[in-house]
Amino acid sequence: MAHLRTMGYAGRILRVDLTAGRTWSEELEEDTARKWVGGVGLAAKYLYDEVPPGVEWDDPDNRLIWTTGPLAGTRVAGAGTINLTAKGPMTNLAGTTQANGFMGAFLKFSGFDGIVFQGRAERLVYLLVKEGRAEIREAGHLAGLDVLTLEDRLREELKVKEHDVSIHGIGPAGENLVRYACVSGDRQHVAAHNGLGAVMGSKNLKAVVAFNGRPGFTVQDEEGLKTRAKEMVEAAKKFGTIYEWGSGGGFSTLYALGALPTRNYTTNLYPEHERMNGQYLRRNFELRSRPCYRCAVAHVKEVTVTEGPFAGFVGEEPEYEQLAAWGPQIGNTDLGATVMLAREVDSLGLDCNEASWVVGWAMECYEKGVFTDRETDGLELTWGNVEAVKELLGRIARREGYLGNLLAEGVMRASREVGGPAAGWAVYGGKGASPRSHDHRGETRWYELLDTCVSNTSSLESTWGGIHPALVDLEPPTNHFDHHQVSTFNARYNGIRLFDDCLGTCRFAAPAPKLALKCLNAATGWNLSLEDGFRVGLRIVNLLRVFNLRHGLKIQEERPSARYGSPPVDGPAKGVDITAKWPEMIENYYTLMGWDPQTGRPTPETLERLDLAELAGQY
Amino acid sequence: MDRVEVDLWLWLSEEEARGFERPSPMRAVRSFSVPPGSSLGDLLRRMAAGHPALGARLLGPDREGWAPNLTFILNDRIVDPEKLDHRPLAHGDRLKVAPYYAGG
Repeated sequence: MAHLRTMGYAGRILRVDLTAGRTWSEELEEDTARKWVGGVGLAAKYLYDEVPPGVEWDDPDNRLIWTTGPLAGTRVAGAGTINLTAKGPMTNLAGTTQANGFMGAFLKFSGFDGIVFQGRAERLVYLLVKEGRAEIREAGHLAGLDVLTLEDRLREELKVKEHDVSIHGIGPAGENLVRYACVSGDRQHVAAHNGLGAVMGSKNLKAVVAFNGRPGFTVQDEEGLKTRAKEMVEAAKKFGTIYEWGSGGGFSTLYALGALPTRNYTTNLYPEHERMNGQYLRRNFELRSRPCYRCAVAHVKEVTVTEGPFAGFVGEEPEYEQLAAWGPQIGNTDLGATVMLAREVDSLGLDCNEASWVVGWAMECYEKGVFTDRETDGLELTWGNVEAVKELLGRIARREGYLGNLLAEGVMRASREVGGPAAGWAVYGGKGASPRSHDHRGETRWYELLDTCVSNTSSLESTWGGIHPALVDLEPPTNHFDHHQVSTFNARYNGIRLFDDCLGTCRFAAPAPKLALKCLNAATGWNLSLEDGFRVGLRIVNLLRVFNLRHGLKIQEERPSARYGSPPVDGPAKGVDITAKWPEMIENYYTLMGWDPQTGRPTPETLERLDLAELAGQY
Repeated sequence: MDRVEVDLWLWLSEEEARGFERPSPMRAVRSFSVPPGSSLGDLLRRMAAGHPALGARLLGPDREGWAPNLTFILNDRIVDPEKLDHRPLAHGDRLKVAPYYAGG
């Protein structure tokens, strides 16, 4: 333990048994740290070891695992990321998701590299961690609060200022076990995917509060880390449009590629994009920087709307995904309304991706007469009716009424329940995973469509969209609509993204994997190469793959829904069809991943190569 | 000569967009004539040479390659920045230049 604490780790894992109301800690072994590094890797190991087949997502024996990484809380910019992992309700398979902000750093300052929650509290509680100690506290008085009010109330109760603590919790969506409830904190940072907020709600756990404090750990080469961290900031400032325009800076570019999700994939025409993108927002709305932990990129902003019906409204500047989710996907053409809905969905504690797929599908159902005022209880779900969307999101979060309760199940289940033609209009991955807020049928997005369908994390696992191959010394594909090239690229790229998610860093502030490796080596004294990084990531991919196979993964579900995989009817990618060669793509991908091409199962040779030989025969 | 329609989605300043039509603050459009057999790289270099302020946006910091924060889209298809000189132009081609996407 003492040695790990000189390598960027706190050296301890906090265990919380919510049924017994007990906390204790255990040592993080150095062998474990070397094999799984931290973040998603460490969490995947706990998930595999402690959640056997037969345990469902809302079973008290499911584990909810919060992990940070060896770079969290160091001088690396933006290194406050927290990873959450559990068996999640959207897919009923492994789910991993990350949130930026401060929790990853403050958890480590509080003395822990991770928290493993088990059991279910009898009444609503929250966990407080500070200076090596943990306390389970009553949270009945916090029941029903949205996440932003929750943070304010807890800070008031604890008599602390903004950055004295990091608070991440669930809103009414998580308490009501909405399948795509998220965990949100530090003012609208979100761990969004696969409904881990509902897992938290199933445990009667409202929030985690971690105190700022002294690091309590050191790194092996402080000067080396200082140099590398500075190089990383320079790289981040030149990476894409994030530094200048935020993640919304590529919004119109995606429109040009046919990759902006518009009215539930029924069209790719959205001429209003010029007034709904990151550049328009930053040029016309008022901004105030709200950087994450030590972040010099500082792309996170608070925004004040300056025009339109929502002038004066204050919220977090929507990331690209929120701009898309609450702009073109629901037929909205008012940017102020997007800011309003982004804040609403975050404060209710809903994943914006799935929420917008659900709302867009409901709007299409309303347009086509499948839903009438009877089903919507008077809500006019016409395209662009943002007030109706706001009301609907509240009903979903509280599972109110027929539609609120139906849509709380996610678009896959809701559409199957309704049946008929409407079942073919829903956008989802076949295992239940929610696509990101892009039109993945557009150029450079096929990588993400394939990834969403075959991922073992229930979110993107392999790629960023096939457009960053140079970062890891890969040759770029020459045709982003070539089935063979896309599936080959996803397999070749797989591993480095999950390795990244072990470190406790933000991908926007630390976009260069080779530099991230240098930072890690400086912190730990290890000498990992890029190949080693891929290997760690592939080890995690395969561990989660075996977990999922043991928990009922069906490979015939590794495909898009009918609408998700349909050829676009207009726009730049009109008529291009990813499903034309879907079986060939899957077979190629499985083969290159070292899996049986027919069954998708990792071969014993693959497991042995990744130091997972003990898993062979367990599925 | 081949005629190529250029549409820059770069929120150019007045100086950078000199000689272009401005259908919106985001866009600057103009038709260019290029000799038959020209490549996309040839066209961009010609644009940069004829418009120094625009050239500063198109070219990388060392002015030998292209700015890394740009996406080149010819007839609705992305062109790898490493391959601009290998991409021949034809009469009626449509070029968009937009910001590089790295999302979230």
